[in-house]
Amino acid sequence: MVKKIGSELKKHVLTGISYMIPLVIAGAVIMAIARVGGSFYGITDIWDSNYAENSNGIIKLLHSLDGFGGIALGLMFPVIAAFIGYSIADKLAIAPALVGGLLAKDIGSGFLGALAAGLIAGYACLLIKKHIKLPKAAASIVPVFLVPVLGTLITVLLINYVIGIPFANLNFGLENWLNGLSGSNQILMAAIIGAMVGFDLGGPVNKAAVTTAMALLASGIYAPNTAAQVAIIIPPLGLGLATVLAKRKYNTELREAGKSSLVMGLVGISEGAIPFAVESPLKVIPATVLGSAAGGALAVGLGSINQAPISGFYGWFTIIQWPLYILSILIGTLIVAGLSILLRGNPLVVEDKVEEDDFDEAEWEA
Amino acid sequence: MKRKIIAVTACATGVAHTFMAASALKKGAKLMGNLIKVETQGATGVENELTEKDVNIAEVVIFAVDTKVRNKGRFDGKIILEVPVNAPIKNAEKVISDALRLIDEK
Repeated sequence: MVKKIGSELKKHVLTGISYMIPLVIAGAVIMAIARVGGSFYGITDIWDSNYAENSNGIIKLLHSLDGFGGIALGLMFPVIAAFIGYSIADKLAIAPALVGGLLAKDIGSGFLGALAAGLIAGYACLLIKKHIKLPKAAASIVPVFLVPVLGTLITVLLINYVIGIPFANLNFGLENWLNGLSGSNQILMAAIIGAMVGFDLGGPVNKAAVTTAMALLASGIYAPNTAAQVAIIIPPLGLGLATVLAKRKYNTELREAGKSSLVMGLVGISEGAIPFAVESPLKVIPATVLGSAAGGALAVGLGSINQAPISGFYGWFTIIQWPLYILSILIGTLIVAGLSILLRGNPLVVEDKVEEDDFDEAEWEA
Repeated sequence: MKRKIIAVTACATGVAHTFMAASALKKGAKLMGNLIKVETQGATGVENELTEKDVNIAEVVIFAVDTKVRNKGRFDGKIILEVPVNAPIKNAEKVISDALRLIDEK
């Protein structure tokens, strides 16, 4: 029962995250362009309102771009709430959850508050729809009037008076704690985030670390994101490299997987490593955890900063200290490749290859 | 007699798991000598959309999803096995036989 509720909740939250990701990418990259652009003019606070009236048109534009990126990032809270609500109670919950998400943002309860807003709005709307039964003639009042009004009221009241304050405190606490971390503590934090990302390669532990890191971008905290983005691409690159370095240890299928894993790694998708983790988890996961942890810790320790939630190569141009960032990725990749080749015993049996693309329409319809 | 199955796959990012699960299901069905059609609901939208006819033909539906299935109403009245998107990537044949068992036990 508990497990079932857990997997339900996970599904709703993941649905919300899937709709939020494009906003975070758009917002953070546009902001990063503005900030990197500003740095060419020696400006480190391009968001300062003084630049809105700058005589240099490009600086003015960069200032505006920073603001536009901020709009996109700010929308991530209402949007994740809206689509968590949508996942639970369809269209009905979108309006109440949007309002709740924006409120959560405004009172500073951050990402957790937005998650809560989506869940509250979703379940409130679902309950209203299920339990308020009116005579047939008046039944349409429920979706057009009662659900929007009651659903929104329940959501905003709970967010503002019950959940808001503790969540806002939690959020400030987390941000202060992260901001206060320095030196070896910060490196340790980066290593932990890296290890989480490398642990299940796109699964819940990975998503928890990555999403938290992304949400912190909105507050201008970049170290967790830097660690996470480095850690994301190390496992697929490392395992892909392993199939190239030790061809004979892998069968045809995994060698093919290795090639696509390298490509997926370059564009920033951890999941390329999954075929390897599925085939022999105990030999692969220790390698990816260590490699990702080392890469994340190195990148943060060496002082590189990635302000965008992008791990693929096309995001590298916006990174501060990019040569050190890429060096960290290389070292992590070599650790994953080396360890996984070492842990992998001797080659396995050849499997038959199955063609999947010869679907017979006539047989299907027979 | 080949069994007929339809499936929908979807994951949070919609670029990797969704398609890996789809191809695992196709492979699994093939190895078991069954027929399967898989719709992917990824980041670029719905591909290989299942038609009303496909839904009618199929004995059972598999949802291998981490997110909400879009346009779920199409499958009303069908027997549905819902599993995480990881499940078929780990063992597609088990997911397919679990789904078939749902109808066989009915």
